Amino acid sequence: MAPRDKTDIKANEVLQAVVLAETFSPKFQPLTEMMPFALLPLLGRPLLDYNLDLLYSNGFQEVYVFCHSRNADRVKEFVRTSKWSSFPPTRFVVNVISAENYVAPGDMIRDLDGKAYIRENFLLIEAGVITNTDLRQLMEAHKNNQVISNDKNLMTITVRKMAPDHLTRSPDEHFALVLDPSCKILYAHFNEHLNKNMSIPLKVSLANGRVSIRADLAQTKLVFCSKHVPAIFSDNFDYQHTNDFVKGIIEHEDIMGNSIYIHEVTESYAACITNMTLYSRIAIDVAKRWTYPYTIDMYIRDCHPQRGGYYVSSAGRIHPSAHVGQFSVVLGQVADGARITKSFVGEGSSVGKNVCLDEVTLGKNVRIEEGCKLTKCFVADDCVVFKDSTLLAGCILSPGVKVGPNVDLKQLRLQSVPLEDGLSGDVVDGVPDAAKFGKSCLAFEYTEDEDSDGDSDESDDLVLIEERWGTEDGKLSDGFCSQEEDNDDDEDDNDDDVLDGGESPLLSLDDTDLFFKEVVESLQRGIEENIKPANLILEINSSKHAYNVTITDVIELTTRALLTICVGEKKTGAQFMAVFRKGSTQIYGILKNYMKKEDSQRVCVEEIGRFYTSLRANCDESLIKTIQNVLNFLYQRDVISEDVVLEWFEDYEDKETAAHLKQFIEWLQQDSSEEGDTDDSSENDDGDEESN
Amino acid sequence: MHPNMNDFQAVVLAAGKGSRITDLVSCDEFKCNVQIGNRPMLFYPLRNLKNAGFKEATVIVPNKYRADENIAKELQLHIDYVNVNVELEDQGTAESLRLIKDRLKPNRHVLLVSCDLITDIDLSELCVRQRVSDALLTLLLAPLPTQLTECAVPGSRKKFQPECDIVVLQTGTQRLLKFGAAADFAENVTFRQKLVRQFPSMQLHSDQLDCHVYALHPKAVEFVLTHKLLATFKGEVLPKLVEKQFSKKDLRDEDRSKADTLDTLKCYALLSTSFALRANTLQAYKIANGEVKNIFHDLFPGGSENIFKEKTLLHKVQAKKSVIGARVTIGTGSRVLSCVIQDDVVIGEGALIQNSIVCRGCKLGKNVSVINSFLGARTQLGEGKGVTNESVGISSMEFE
Repeated sequence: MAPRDKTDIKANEVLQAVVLAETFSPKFQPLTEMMPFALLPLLGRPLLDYNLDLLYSNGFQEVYVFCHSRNADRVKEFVRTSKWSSFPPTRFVVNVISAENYVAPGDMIRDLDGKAYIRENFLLIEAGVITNTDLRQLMEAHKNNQVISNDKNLMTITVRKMAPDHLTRSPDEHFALVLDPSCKILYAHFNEHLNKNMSIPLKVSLANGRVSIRADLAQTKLVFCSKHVPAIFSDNFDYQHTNDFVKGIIEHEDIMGNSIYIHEVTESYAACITNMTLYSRIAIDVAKRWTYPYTIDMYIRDCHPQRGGYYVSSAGRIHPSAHVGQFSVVLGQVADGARITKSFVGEGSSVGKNVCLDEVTLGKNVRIEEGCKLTKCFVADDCVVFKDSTLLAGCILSPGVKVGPNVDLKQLRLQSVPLEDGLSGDVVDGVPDAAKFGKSCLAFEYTEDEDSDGDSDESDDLVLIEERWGTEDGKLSDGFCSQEEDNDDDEDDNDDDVLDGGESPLLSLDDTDLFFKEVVESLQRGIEENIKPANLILEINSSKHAYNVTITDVIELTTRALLTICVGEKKTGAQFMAVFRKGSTQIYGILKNYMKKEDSQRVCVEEIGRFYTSLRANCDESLIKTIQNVLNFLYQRDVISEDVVLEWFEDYEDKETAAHLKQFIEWLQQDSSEEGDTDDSSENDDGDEESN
Repeated sequence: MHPNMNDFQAVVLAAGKGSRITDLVSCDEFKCNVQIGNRPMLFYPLRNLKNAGFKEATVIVPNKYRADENIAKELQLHIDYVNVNVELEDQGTAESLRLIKDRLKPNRHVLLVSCDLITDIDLSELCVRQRVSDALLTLLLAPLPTQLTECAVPGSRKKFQPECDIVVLQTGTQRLLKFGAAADFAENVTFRQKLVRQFPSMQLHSDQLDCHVYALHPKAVEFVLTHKLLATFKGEVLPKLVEKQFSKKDLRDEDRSKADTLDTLKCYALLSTSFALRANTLQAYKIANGEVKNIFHDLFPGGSENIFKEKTLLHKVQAKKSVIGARVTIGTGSRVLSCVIQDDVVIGEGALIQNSIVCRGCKLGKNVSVINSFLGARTQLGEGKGVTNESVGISSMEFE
């Protein structure tokens, strides 16, 4: 607790680092199925090797590599056989720690707390980090921040200045910070790219007088933590990620006095591989020597930069007529007429005649036959692309895949064994699809299991851009906010107007709107496919929880959904009633289920009233008249009670629509006074319709 | 020598009613006549204009206001007074500008200045800034004076709560990206992601005073003149102009071909570090009185502790940091500390007046003590009375 004493014994201080060696994201599938993310080669060198090199050369002595159990053996094997295990324990030790239950970085840090390895400030680094920054300097900055903040600085996050559309910045990460004017203390941060707007709490700005808002600082995923951090993760078992941690600390800053600092890396390279697009870009950056001294020629000693700006190893063979462009690395063979730009050709690989490669990574022993054209692809070890094939825009071939000859593939992820999960793929029988991938193929399409990605089902509509390697860059950079919704909301041309019954156009797709959509879909299916009401109720209830809407909303929206579906394109009242009667009979169970109490019935009737009010603006009069038939119908089916209708009618403010109800209400009043029986009500029902 | 200001027209808005200082205004009839450092408030902004190189200024004044020729004479400035009917047209600053439409010279930038500005900022800087960036609008910001919150408001126990503005500027260029009163924001200041991406580095200020000095491009003036529904300049016109920078809607609207220019022009702010104050509240009025001698050394030479309108004989009176008007009598043994004593005030012997404003014609008996209070015009306090944190003798005019 006394930092002053520590400075005295600084000489004995051991620098500790924690490497989070999993990606926890499906972005690298199916590659990460076959190999640990940490061992994914970047220009022929495993990512973990970059990390360990960085840590070693910055004088770190203890490194803890956290990975999932299924990868543990291979990571351990890698460390054991690498030079990193050959140092004396006092100089450099790499410990690989694994467990079965890691589902997020938070779990790893909690495990770290449990194991009590951390004695002082430590560095938290993700396996995808590629940097040549001086970590000792950053550590000093972190310690300095702790002195300034009176030991309340829990974390120093390193960032690098990059424009929001910078190429080595993840396009699906919209990271914005609110900082003090000197850009050191973090007041708030925003990470949700789903939101169209960014809201800074007023009290943050008023309390601080002046704050900086920075969207040009990108996370480098290099984080310096105080020794208290793991314990805080343990206390807050819901912290999945450092972002959760940061958010938690900032929000409780008033209470605890803790703070998060930002350190801007200005004179060095720092980036983190979080998806394939970045993988490809960072590979080029490494080839461009931005990361010096962590460059390819430092790793593969006989691989030298050439006059044309590319690298060839002593085993590399390039035919004189082949053209190899800048920032390419050739460790294998390149035949005549081939054109290679910004690509990596791994050991033992061969590139056939007249092959075109652009931003392609070829692993070891890959064979690209003549006449192929590959752009922005990743081809893992031992793959074969037979002749005259074209692979474009973000194809990923995991080890052992064979495709071709003569196929055109685009944005496909292929693996050499059939998907284990028979449910999600159409290829179940284990026979490769020759028609699709060529007659000599050994390839199965890998499709992302939607459910495996926690958020994807919730945000499907909202994720306007998901990172997709190889897609147009222009679209990526602007996709976060589509042009249509760019202008003031009230001017939006909303095609849903008719469906909505002229309700005010949706301001934004908030949860209620999304829920409404789901309900409409559920009901529509229910009506069309005759699904049991009980199942639909289950469906609606689960949506209710997913979107966190109240039960009142459920009743309201279910009612509106039913009417909306029935109104559809119907022009006249008679058509509408026919559909309505059929529809509500189908989903009678649902209505009955939600409207047991009078309160709920009241909500339903109110919604019907509103719906008709909104409808009046743009439809036929005969349609408006159906309001009493609708109410009558529901009344006859005991969905709503007469008391509810009468009570509601008294408060109903829309006089024009109310006029259409007069007949029904009068009849109800009569009925209630006479305790009328239901026998002649069916006649009355018909009578009403004929009158329309 | 200052550069030629021929491309600018200076307009001073002096027709305000001073709704936050009604009791002071009732002493001097018009807001712009309220005495600060024993000079009418209007004097100070006109002096700023003169110092910035203006040779003439248009001043919008209330209907019955009779021009004080001394100002023009002292400043050697040609002042064009335009009377507007305040009672009828109490619609705000933008409206005032529309009322003097025919006095505006074509194709000139307008430098709009409020009459309650007390500052030593060189306004020509703002004009230069406007010219250099060919801005649609340049506004002047200065730090909120710390004095405002340092002592209590006369006549109340409360601490002064300055009105905050939320100003968002692009770092470096000081381009104005967002503007509004803090009170107009609910809980959050919301930014469009698109804006954040376009301007990835911004500064959000909430500790700056909007000096109500605006340099307006002719296009912006035109905008004010044509949009008759926008009443106040700061509250309505300014946010609109700021938003205009980012709306592409008008570009699509082909009927309005002129709008193109309006949209391509940019808004900027000039961040000054000098002292600036708007004497539009009691607290600000008092601070202004206290500060004028510190910032205008040439106007108040001698470095004396007090400002006197005329030679007032103070016999055995201890006066500090005070402004004392004409024909004031202060009895022996009295102490007057950090006060504003207006004309024709009579204070008895042995009185203690501290951190207070004593308006015109007050008569205070012997041994009174007035601490942190506001005494309205012609208030009479009997012998030995004590007043602390109170407002006394306020006319009930405002409630009628």
